[in-house]
Amino acid sequence: MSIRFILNRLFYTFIMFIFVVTLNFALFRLMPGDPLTMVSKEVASSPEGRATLEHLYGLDKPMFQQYIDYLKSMTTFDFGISFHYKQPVINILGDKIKNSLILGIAAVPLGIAIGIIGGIIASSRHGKKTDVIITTSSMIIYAIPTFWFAMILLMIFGVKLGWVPINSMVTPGANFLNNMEYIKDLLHHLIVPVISYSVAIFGSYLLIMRGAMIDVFTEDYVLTARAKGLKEKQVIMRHVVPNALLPISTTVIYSLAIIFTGAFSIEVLFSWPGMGKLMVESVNRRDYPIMQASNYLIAVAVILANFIMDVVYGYLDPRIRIG
Amino acid sequence: MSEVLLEVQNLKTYFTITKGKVKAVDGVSFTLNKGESIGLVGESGCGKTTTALSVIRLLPKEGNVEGGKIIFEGNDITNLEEEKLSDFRWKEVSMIFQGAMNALNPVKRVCDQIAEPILLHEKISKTEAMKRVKELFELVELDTNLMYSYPHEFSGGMRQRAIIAMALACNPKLIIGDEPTTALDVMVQAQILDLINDLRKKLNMSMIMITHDLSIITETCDKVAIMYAGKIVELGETEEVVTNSLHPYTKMLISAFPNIYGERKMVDSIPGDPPDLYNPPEGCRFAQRCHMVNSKVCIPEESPPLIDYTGEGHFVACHLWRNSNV
Ligand SMILES: Nc1ncnc2c1ncn2[C@@H]1O[C@H](COP(=O)(O)OP(=O)(O)OP(=O)(O)O)[C@@H](O)[C@H]1O
Ligand SMILES: [Mg+2]
Repeated sequence: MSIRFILNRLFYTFIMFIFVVTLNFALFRLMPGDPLTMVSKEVASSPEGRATLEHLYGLDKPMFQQYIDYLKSMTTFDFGISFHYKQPVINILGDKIKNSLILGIAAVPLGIAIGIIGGIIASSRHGKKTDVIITTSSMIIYAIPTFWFAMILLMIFGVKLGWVPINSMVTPGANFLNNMEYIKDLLHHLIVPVISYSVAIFGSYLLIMRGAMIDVFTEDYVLTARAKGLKEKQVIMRHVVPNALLPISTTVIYSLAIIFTGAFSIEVLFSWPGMGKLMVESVNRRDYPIMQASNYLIAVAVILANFIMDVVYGYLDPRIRIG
Repeated sequence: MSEVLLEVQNLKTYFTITKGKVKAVDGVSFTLNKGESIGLVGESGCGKTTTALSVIRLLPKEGNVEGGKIIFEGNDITNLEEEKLSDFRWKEVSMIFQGAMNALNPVKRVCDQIAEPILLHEKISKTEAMKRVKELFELVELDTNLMYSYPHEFSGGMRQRAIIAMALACNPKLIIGDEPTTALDVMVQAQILDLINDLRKKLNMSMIMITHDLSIITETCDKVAIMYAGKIVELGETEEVVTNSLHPYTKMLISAFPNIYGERKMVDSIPGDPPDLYNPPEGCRFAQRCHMVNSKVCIPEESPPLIDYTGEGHFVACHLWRNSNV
């Protein structure tokens, strides 16, 4: 892959970044609702109090100055003080991101792997019973709303059978003697959220992979591979899968790159203290600094994911590599 | 005389579709000697590819050999099990597929794709296999520096050369070319045909060349089989069939194919369509389009058998010739 290709992608990444930051800046100034009242109803009700607050948060400065300040603070990850937590946003986010990562790293690759392997199996039995069973069941599961499915699991394993805890990451108030104890408790809490999460996402990967495989199966080079005397398994693994992975690779990289931004419904339902739950709560609390910071981080993640996607795709597909 | 390599006896290959059976190949017989080449000619849909796929035992799952035999080097391979098929394919028979421009996997290096069957069928190291690939590149007159390239870096003609190199990789006894040059422009087409011809003679391989262009056959094949609607209607030495054609269909094909002396007409200028192979007519399948049809001799319910008209290997399946001969 040429340096020029990477530089070219980097340039577009930068442009996209500026665009997104600007949009993020403007968006929160156009949104309805009065953030100052959220900081403190009493102080904001008097004109003097309002002025003090505006000064404190820099809202009295000219727009352009505000924009420059904003750019500066965004690039240094200085997101200000949370209205709700009265603490630096970055400290809060750091913690929540870590929690989202714990859940996501356990669940997302698992869901992707199940989807891809399922897609390979289904497509190689295209039209046969196995294919029909795998495809219909994953389509049904895919169609079921995540929170509903998760709730059922929670009800069976958490409430009815009492095998797993029903919420949060670790037993609240528990004192752990050592790290092992902590990890054991964490894993125990992880089981149902991870299952729900991976079940929620595997269907789309399965369907994409299956479709891509079926397309590749009709290619002449697959027929040639069979004519060479390769066993069907070899034909699939050496010739079909590598080509079918191309269209899905972008989606995979993308999903992996944005893991830390959390999963809304799963986190809310299981009271998992991650980014998804935080964002939902912050919207309700009008906690602008947190909303803005999370929005910004998601945007940056998406932009970076796009960049990585381009580079990796270029690496995987030789036809793009020289571009 | 020379040894027989391939014997196709009364081959019947049918496709099972929801409403019944498509009789794509319906009683085809021919023999091919070692080092000999035969052309299969006919309009689109007459069963040329199906015949070839039956020989290399690579029919799609709805296709089945429902009658007849395929004998390769004296062994009946009609029902060869999967296990033995892997050893048979490419080592004994290789094939250049129709629309072969896409026969190379876009994400694999050309050298690896050519080395693949060598490594599969022979117990040699990767380095040795690569050495063979290099020799093959030289054989098909490709720049060996391009060995490690990906297919998209090749032009159409170069890709076709690479595919030929791939087909030769395991020194097969038989090569099947299913319209190996149709995707190429005329100049490159001529080069590739010359190349195939030279190599085939040099390496003493047999070949089945499939095309709807008779002129390609006259340049490359010792024998020719004219196919019509799943059957061979005329078979013999190329020279003999072209100059003394017997079957009305062959005559029409010859008068229709572009001739530098005559006016340029195309194969599809033969009026009418071939019959639907799902429900082919009884008797002579060409009768509806035949301008020489004679109600006295062309018995509607009887299929004309393929008979040696000259007694020297010029076969024809036509009521007219059958009756005038006796
Ligand atoms: N997979 C299939 N299922 C059903 N029918 C098929 C299938 N493949 C081929 N056929 C039918 O079998 C007949 C012969 O097809 P075949 O591909 O052998 O023709 P061909 O002589 O190679 O034609 P062309 O010159 O267009 O390649 C056609 O009528 C075609 O419609
Ligand atoms: Mg064909």
